[in-house]
Amino acid sequence: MSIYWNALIVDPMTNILLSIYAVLGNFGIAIILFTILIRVATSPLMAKQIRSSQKMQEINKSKEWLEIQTKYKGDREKLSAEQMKLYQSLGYNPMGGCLPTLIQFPVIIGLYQSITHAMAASPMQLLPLTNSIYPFLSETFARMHITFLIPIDQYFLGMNLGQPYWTPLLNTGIEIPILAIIVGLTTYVQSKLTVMPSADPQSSQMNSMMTLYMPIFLGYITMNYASGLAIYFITTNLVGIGQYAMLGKVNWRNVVPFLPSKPEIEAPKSIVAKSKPRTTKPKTETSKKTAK
Amino acid sequence: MKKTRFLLFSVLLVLMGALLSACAGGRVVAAGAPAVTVEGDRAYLASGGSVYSLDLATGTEPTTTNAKGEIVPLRFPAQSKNMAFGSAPAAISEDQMVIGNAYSNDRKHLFYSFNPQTMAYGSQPWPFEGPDLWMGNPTVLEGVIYAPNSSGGMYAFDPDGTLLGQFETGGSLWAQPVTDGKDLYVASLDHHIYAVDPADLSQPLWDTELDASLVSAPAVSDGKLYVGSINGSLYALDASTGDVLWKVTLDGGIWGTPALPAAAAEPQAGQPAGTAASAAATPEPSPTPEAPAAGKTLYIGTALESGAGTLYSINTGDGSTVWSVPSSGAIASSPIVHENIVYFVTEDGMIRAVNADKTPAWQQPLGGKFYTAPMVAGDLLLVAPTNNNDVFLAAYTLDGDQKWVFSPNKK
Repeated sequence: MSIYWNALIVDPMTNILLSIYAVLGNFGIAIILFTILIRVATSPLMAKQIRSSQKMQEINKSKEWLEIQTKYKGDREKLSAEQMKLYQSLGYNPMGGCLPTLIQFPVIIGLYQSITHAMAASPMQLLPLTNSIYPFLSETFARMHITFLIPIDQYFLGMNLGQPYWTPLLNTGIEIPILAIIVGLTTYVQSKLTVMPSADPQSSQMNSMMTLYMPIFLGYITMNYASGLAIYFITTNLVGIGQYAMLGKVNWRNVVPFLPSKPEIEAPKSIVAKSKPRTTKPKTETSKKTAK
Repeated sequence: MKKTRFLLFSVLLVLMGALLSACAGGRVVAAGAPAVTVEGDRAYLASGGSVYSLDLATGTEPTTTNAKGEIVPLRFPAQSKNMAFGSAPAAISEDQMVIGNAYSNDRKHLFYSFNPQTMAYGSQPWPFEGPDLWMGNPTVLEGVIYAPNSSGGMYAFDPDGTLLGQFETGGSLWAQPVTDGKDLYVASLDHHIYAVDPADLSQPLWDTELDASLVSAPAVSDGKLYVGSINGSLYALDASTGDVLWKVTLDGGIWGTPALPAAAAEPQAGQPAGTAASAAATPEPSPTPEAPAAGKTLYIGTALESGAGTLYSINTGDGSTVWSVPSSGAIASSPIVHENIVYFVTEDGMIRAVNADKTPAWQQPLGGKFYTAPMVAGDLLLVAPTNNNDVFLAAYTLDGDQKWVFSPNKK
């Protein structure tokens, strides 16, 4: 299993990461660019996921769904069946939001693995790294040959990317995990900015838990693992915020409360009317109707 | 329902943690392979976060009774300190050994001194904090410890831990510094090999740039150094000037130190008696007629990209290949030659012995992966695999019969 995983995911990513490093000669910038590259490459999946979440949100707020919930309050089975019927009638696939996430997950893990793979700290780790460099790359691109590539300069902004990074707090003799704090903060800000308000209390609770625990979890990981990973986490968080912002899905008020508010939860309205015209009426009329 | 969600969320976090930890491949924790030092009738195995003291005859640990009245093995450190070692301990005297850590929970790369008889701290960790991992074995010369650090510095300490000086190179030092009894020779990942006067570490006597990174120590013999690069280039250099005498390119990268028959190898002055270096320097019987004369041949293994390897016998005069033997697994550590038999271990978990005339002597599978060089201690061959929970150290007779295995996981 791990042979196929390495061959299909980790090795190609490692070669891309090392190629960027071979061109730039700076491993920190290579990690940043590589992370941006992977995030941009997976952005269509992310956009699809956002659209799916938004659609789900609309359905959850819709008049039809609220009516179904009231009508079948005591009958969970019937409620589920009606929910599926509603999804079908609206042409919504509840798995549509999961699939892009599922596809992104191995990519993210692979990205993480390729970064750790490239930061070999012993002969035992360097040997598999040198073996994973594609021969066609090292033959055609001289800088990808191990005679040029190894040793990899792991220093970036004064940090050894292969080691956890803690910085002294002035002259107090106390060291603080500054990168872990930045990772925690950026993870928190990203979660707060990109979380979709949910009408479902259970989903809302789940979102709250994720927003709270993920920064702690990733911060803890960063405290003890190579700082190169912190660079990856920070970059991926910032790029994630940027991607959401470009799609107009960032809710700045979640982290800057004094910003002018816009109504988040709209009054329930029918969404069946929105979807029906897709097949029965011309688009121009649809847009007029929904604008009313 | 809330409980179920919370449980699911917790499981997800744990799963992510496990995945990320596994993905890190032990990047910070236990980054090194096990390492062994033999001193007298004991083998000292540094593996993970412990140094195990093993009786060479039986493979068992000495025990003591703790405060609770329990019988516990004598190990260093007695209480787990959440650290990992990446190099072998070096013996300074009968009652002092030193070892640097490769990882510690408090991110400090310290050197520890302990008594090999009692496995107890000789003192607290030395105050000097290395800038990076201690991955290479230290060398002791005239009572001074020379310790290579992954930062690229070689640090000299006296037995009390006082820093006496340092020598800086441009790349990580993973190889043990070696000595001809007078000077020190340091191989670096920065592609350079350096000769250093122990009395003056401020600048090298000479340094020679080779074609690629050097992860293993050179072999010293008869005023010459033999060293291999990860690009597969094997060099002979003049030890007094650093001039390259010859260079040959082998098939695959070189990850170990060339093995020289004992009569050809310089005694490693300062090395404690009974270590691999001194074990290899014990008097050899006369070579058999078909075996090459001592000093004329060296043995080196390579690791191919395919995962296979090759053991080479090389003429030390001109670098020409005398013979080569293919191996199914990469040879990622040094071979050792003893009484006209070359012993080597492979990345696919095999222990192999080849006669000096190329004919196979014996081979045994052990499992796990080998990144640690085999060692001859008296009439035993010691091997330390990685990724083998059932065997941390195994002893074989020189004929290939397994004598004992040690694993702290087995009662």
